Amino acid sequence: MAHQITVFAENKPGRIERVTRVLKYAGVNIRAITIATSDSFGIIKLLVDNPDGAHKALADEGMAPFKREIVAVLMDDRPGGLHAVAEILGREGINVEGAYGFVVKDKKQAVLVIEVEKIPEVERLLKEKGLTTLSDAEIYSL
Amino acid sequence: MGTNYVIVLTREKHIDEITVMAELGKDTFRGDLPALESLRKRITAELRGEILVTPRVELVEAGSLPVAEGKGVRVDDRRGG
Repeated sequence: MAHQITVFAENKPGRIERVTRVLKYAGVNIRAITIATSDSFGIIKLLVDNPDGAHKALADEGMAPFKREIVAVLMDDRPGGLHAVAEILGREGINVEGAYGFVVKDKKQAVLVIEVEKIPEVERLLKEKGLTTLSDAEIYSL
Repeated sequence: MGTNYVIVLTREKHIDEITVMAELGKDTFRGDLPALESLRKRITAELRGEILVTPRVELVEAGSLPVAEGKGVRVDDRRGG
C-alpha cells in the first residue's frame, strides 16, 4: 500500500512555496506533485519518501495535510505502457477519481498513481492481471 | 469546519455583495477536492436559508484570518461612503 499527502491551499501566490519550504527543512524528498484547483482554493498532492514525516511537518506548521492511500502501478516506459493499465481499469469497471504519473528515468519504467475506492480490491485485481503495485518503500527504491 | 470566519461587504455597480471567508478546520479536510466544493456549496445554501441572500463563500487556510474577538470585528465593510 502506498500513500500520498494532500494539503489544502488557497489559490494564490506563495502557497506551493510554503509547502515545499516545510518539506525541505524536514528533509522530505518529493517524488511527484500535482495540484488540483477549484475557484479560490485547491489541493496539492504529493508523493514523498516519508509520508508520516511530511504529514507531521506540515501539520506542525499549521497546515491541513491528509495522508491518503493510493494505488501506485508500475508500468513500462514505452508506447502503450499506460494503455495496458488503463485497459484493465476500464475493462474491470474501476472508476479513477484522480491520477498522475512519473517516469523512473534510469530503469525505463514509469509509475501511475491512481486514486480509487476499495484500494485493497483494486490492488488484488491488478496483481491478478500481472501488474505490479508498489508500497511507499518500493516507490523510493526504484 | 473551523470556527473562525470573516464577512466582507463590498459594493459592485450599486449592488451590495457579501463574501464569507471561512477557515477550513484541520480535521475537516480529507484530501478530497469535490468534498470541499460540496462543503462550500452547503455553507452557501445554509447561509442563503438564514439571511435570504446568496453570499460568496470562500474556504481559506486555518490560521489565515485574524482571530476574532467579537462579532463586530468579524465584519469587514469595504463599501465606502
